[in-house]
Amino acid sequence: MKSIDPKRLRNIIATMVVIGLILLSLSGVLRPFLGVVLDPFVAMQRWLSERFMALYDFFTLPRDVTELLQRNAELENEVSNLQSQVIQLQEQLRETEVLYSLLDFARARPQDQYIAAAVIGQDPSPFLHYVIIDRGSDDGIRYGMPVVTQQGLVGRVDAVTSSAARVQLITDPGAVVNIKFQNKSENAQIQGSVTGEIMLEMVSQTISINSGEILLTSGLGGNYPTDILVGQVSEIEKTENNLFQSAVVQPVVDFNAMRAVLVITNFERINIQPLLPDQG
Amino acid sequence: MGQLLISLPVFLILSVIQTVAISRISIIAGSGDIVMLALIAWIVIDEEGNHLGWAIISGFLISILSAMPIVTVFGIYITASILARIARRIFWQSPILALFSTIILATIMKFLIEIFTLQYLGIPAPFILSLTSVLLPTLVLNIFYTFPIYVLMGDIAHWISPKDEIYA
Repeated sequence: MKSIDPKRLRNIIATMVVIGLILLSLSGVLRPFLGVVLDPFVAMQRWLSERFMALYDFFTLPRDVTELLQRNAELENEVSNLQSQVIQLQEQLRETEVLYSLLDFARARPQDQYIAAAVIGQDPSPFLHYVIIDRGSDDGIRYGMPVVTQQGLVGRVDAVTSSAARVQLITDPGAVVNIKFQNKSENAQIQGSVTGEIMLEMVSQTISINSGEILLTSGLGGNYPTDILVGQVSEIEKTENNLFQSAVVQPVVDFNAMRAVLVITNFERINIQPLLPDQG
Repeated sequence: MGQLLISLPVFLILSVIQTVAISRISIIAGSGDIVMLALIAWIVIDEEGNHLGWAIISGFLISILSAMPIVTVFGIYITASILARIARRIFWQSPILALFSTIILATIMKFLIEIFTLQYLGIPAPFILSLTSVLLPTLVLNIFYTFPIYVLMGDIAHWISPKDEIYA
């Protein structure tokens, strides 16, 4: 009998073992066994990988910081842009709210025609209470036109240029407005002062006025339309020796926060000067 | 002439800032006047300039914006320029002293001129009330604004006349 070469026999056995292992592997029989064998390798690989990446990060950190700083600057820039956009949008929202309020007011008084204007300045003299608006004669603004907000009476146009106008506020010491009480048939007048306080004047001593009473324009004198809200009585000053009693008036309009106004364009101011007796 | 031309945009910008911002910043009923402060500061800094021209330009710009009669406004600014020149001569060794003394005096003069005008026009302006509510707060605000305006006008004057020793 011809003996098999041991070397060849070893190769055949090795080949059969390999084929057997492949077949066992393909059939899934070796999976639990491979898991047990490979787990320590995987764990070791993870451990090594973590250390390596830590070392890698350590050596490449300066480059990343530069990138991060650059990215941070970009993001900060973007945040600044977004913040400025937010401020602009908030500003626009505020303006829109003001315009909506003015629109509501205009709808409530459909008999009047209005031009909306933005308040762009204030009189340089601290004695005078005037504001400058961004509409002028080109927009149809004329001298003497009443000016209001959604809250109530602001004043009247005192001077006009082609693109701007100056409005005398009712808080100006030279401003006098004829008013009436909401719940009374009595008339009186209000006058501004150098401090911006509005005083109720020419109220007869026989009339009982109470704090909180609402004052409206009476229309007397022909300078203002009737029934525009002016303010409410806050402090009453009644001295028996005086012919008239007076009171401090709290205006409904916040003149310091005023951003936009409405000019009533269809109001015809009546000049009663020729009818007044000659003072000379 | 060049200084006069440059003073126009300077006072124009200051007038706009005055009406837009400074007039709205008030203590009680007083508010500062940076146009007057700039005029005084410029005169104190630059002795050689056309002081009357600056006073007329600043007065003209403010008279457009203000409801005060034009004569009053011109009177205020010309008075302020005269006071600044006098103070500059008296306190020639100390421009800061000249500046502050002028500003205090000019603010008081402005107050008196304005209150006189209101009285003349028949507009009620009680003197004591105006003194406490308008003059004193205005004085405080004007003194507060003085130093930034002085620095600004110093820079402008130095920019216009770099060769001159404008700071004493």
